[in-house]
Amino acid sequence: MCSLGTLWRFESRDAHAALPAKREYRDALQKHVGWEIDLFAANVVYTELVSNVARHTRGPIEIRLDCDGGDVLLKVADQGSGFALEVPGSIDPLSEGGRGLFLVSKYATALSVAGRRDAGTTVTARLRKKTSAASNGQRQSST
Amino acid sequence: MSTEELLIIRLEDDEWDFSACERLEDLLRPAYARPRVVIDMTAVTYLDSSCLQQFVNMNKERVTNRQFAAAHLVIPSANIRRLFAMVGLDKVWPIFEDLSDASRAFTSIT
Repeated sequence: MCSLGTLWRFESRDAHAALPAKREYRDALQKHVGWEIDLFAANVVYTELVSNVARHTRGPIEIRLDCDGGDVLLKVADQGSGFALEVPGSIDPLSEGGRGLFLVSKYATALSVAGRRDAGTTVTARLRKKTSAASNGQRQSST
Repeated sequence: MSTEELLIIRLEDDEWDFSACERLEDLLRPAYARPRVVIDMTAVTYLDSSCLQQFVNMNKERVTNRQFAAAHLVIPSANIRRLFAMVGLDKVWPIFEDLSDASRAFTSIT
């Protein structure tokens, strides 16, 4: 079980700066002890959540990777006013948008959003274990 | 070059995310007006939802507005194929594992 606590932390006044930091994020994930993280899934979760902030809010962004018991949690905090976490069960292939959060819900094992007035919004995603089936492109159940 | 000739567009970078979205739109734009198009994504290891939207936009212009056949996509990566399947886009475009198959499938259409 990993007990490293915070694996990585990134802060910027401009959320756009967080996308190129993806490589540092992936390096930090490799430090995790105990089980191997599905890096492709982790990439999807990071990119979609950070892009969402860059598109919809202004101001700073804070990103943390925390080991919490057996879980690895990605937390993305911004100064936005929050949003309802309503993920559809399926998506129209040719819809105009809506795929980002849908993909995050599929590639993370759990997803939550918390917000307080004047304190911004934090989205927390629990990252997925790498399995041999995952590397073959098959869907895995939550762990 | 005749507009009937096959147009092959190669995405040479490995990662395509929000920051590369406009560049992808520019790369795909020539496909809007060409009836036979193959998008070679052999080098692609990651593609985000904003880039998937560029493919949807391309499809709308080509198939819905101009009545062209769907472009053929070359996607050897199991992860990227799975990503397309996750949002149902594997039903929108014929997906091939290599360029020669994707091209041959077009040229066999008379």
